[in-house]
Amino acid sequence: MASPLLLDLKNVNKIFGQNHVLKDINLQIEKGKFITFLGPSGCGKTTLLRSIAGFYTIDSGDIFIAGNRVNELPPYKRGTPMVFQEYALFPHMTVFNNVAYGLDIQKRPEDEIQERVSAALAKVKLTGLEERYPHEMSGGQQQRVAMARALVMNSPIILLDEPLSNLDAKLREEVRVELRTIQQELGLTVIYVTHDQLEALSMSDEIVVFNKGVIDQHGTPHEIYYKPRTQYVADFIGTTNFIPVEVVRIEGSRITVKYGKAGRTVTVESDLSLKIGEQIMLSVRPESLRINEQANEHDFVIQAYVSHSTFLGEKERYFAVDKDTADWVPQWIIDAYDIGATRYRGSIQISAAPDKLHLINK
Amino acid sequence: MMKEKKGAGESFKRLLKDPSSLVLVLTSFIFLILFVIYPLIVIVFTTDGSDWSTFFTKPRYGTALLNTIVSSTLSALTATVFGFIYAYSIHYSNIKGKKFFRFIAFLPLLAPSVMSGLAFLLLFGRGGFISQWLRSNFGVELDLYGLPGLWIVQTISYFPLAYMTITSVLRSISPNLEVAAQNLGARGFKLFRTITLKLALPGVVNAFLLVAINCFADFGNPKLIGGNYSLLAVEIYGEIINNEPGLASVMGIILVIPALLVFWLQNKVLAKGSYSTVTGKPVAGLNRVTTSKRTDWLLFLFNSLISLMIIAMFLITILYAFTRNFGRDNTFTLDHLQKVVFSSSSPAVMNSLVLSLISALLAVGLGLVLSYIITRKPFPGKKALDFSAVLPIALPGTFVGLALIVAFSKGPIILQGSAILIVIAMLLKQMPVSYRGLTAAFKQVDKSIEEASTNLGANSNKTLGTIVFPMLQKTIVANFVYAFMKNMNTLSTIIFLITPKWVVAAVSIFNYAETGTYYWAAAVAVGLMGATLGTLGIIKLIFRDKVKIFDF
Repeated sequence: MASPLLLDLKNVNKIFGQNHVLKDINLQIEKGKFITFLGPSGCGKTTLLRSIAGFYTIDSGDIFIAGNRVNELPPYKRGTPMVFQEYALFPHMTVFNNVAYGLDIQKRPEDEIQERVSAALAKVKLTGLEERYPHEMSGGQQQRVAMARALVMNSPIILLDEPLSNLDAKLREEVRVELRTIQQELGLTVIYVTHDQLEALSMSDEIVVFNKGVIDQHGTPHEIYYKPRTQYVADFIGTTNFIPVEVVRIEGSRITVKYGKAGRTVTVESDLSLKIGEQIMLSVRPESLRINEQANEHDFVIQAYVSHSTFLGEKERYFAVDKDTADWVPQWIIDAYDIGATRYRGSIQISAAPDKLHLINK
Repeated sequence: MMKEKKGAGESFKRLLKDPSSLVLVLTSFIFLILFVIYPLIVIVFTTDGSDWSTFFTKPRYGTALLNTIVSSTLSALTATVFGFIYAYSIHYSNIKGKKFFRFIAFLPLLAPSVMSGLAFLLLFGRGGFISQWLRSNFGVELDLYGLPGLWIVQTISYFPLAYMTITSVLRSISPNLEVAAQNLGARGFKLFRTITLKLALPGVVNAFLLVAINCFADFGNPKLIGGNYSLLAVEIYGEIINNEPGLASVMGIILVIPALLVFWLQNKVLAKGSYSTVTGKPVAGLNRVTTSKRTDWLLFLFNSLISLMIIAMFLITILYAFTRNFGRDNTFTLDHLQKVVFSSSSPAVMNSLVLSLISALLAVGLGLVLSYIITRKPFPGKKALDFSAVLPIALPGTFVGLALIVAFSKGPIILQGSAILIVIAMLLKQMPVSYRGLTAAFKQVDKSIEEASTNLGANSNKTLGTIVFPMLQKTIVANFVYAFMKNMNTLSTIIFLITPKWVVAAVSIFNYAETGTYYWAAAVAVGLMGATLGTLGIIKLIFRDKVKIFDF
């Protein structure tokens, strides 16, 4: 059974001057989920987050939080604590007072504040630093204070606006795990904005991919990665190979497509509704391709030759050109893992099992 | 074992190899020792035990000290509150006419503060426009001489200073913080009290202290409006006239103590308590939380009242300057201007213009030399030079003038009676400002830009001339303009130094106002403002849009 809806966005539009930033956004978010808004800068993800927090008033549509329409509610009544990209810690207050601020505003009793602030600081592992000032802390610690300040509100939903972008790579990885742990322990609903696909893939229950003000795809990380619905999504997340193909046979969800000049065919599972003769795209991830391995009769097979390769540590990335059909696909990217000293040169055969292939509308 | 070559001896050796820098360093040292350190020493040794005991035993001086403390505290308090409200309305409200209000707050900078005193007399003095109107219509007798009048005038005079100081603080508060507070449920007055006001507090305190020490040592308005309410700066003037330099020096030293205390406080305490640097840049697209409609309405009303007051002061001065005897004979005339501005027997405005330009030029030049050698050249005694270059900023103008007159009216060096002392006094007050501004600008010129120039074959002089100075041009002009405007309007600094030949406009306004020839005082004020505006206009024409002069 699905969990109840916490956030429901209906036909949300936001326009800044000439700029239509959010176009008819419809999105349902269930309670207790870690949701990531993913996209490049200017795609509308941050605007939507701020609209949920009430910093922007939307130009049309409705926002429901826990069933209540909040369109007209000012930010201070929304109950949507947010972790800001720049943290926005109050520089004139100690860590304790920063975290206690929201509870002070609510006029909570002294001992409750004490208790809740301590608990929140313990959650982010800052116990003992209550009396420090923000400028006496490292960037990572400041980030945790910002997190605690939001957590302490005990709100069912927390908004995070690229909270890790000011941390170095190693720390970021650490905090990612911690954030996810806290979210699961407390059963929080988190909306997390980022442009970092790795962050999105590693933390989220669901990813919402934004493209120029519309949602291109909303799905689990696996769906987003292996079954991208558009070329944009496939391209934005990870590296992928695209080949134009033509639909030649449809049997329910089994689609047979023709590829290459030689006109080989391969049959792929897809839920796209297609017509015979339609020109579409076939995508396959570099790590799903095999080099010079015995191919099955139903496999996807291409003859190519290696143009160059790069050693990336855990893998060797090959760039190959299609042998007889160099005109329609200039380059193949193949990742070969743990192959020791083996290096492929000259002619190779690239193949992939049909279940690694994915069809996308052009 | 090999050791790094450093220390005073090494830097001195290096300096000897670089003759042009050596000349600059030596000139700077000689100048600052002669005109900053020497007068300070002389003024301390001019006083003897009897002067100090006279000061502390005669009740007259105690009263003056107490009066000075009370009036400057009151004025600073109101000026700061007004300045804060005004600045807040500009940065946080949605009121209409912000540009106009900013312009009005900038206006008083164009005139000497003694003009506020003059205008106040013209409006609320015994024969003042409003006093007479009240008398004839309501039979009310207005007597604002003494503390009440002084309080009002100093509040209006120093409100722009408070406003500007607080504006720069409000500007530096990141809107993110207010947005974050709102996100946590704060709003309205609670938000203002816990975030905005708290963050602005160091700046507000700073504004208060600045205004307080300025009022503390101010001479013109207290003399004009104080009446029987005696104040320290006025007493010093009396003692100089009575030829009692010892007693004057004692009071001068008393004036300096709070100023130095504030200077120290600013450098140590307030700098530490400033939060603006740690809050980061504002997030694009998120606007500051603003005031409610009702608050806007109140702020608009408040700003309008202040603006009305300032406009009235300028208006009444202009009316007096262009009529025979405003209120009695309202016939338009240019006679007053002719007599006190354009006649060769009244060179005050011309003197102001010439001396201010020369002094401003020298102040910026010296500031440039000092900032250059301090940021770019190694030499021994750097800290001492830096300290004595900044020190005059902490000294009240009255004290600077007093120290110079005391030090150079008797041997071994006598400069009294020449315009040199006037130029130097103005220079000492403005040079530290230029020096600080230019030092900051020098530090902003990335070393790598100079290295790139050297790397491409330019020697250090070439680099300085073709790369560094052009990059500093804006700062240089801005500082020149600022110094010029301040020089034109200074009274306290030069009141002890003027000679019959070298009367300047601010003193002339003061003298005419004191003797009750208000139309002449007003005419000189108008002439002075005209000269200032005209010069600024010419500078604007020369530098076009490269330099923002009217940046209000």
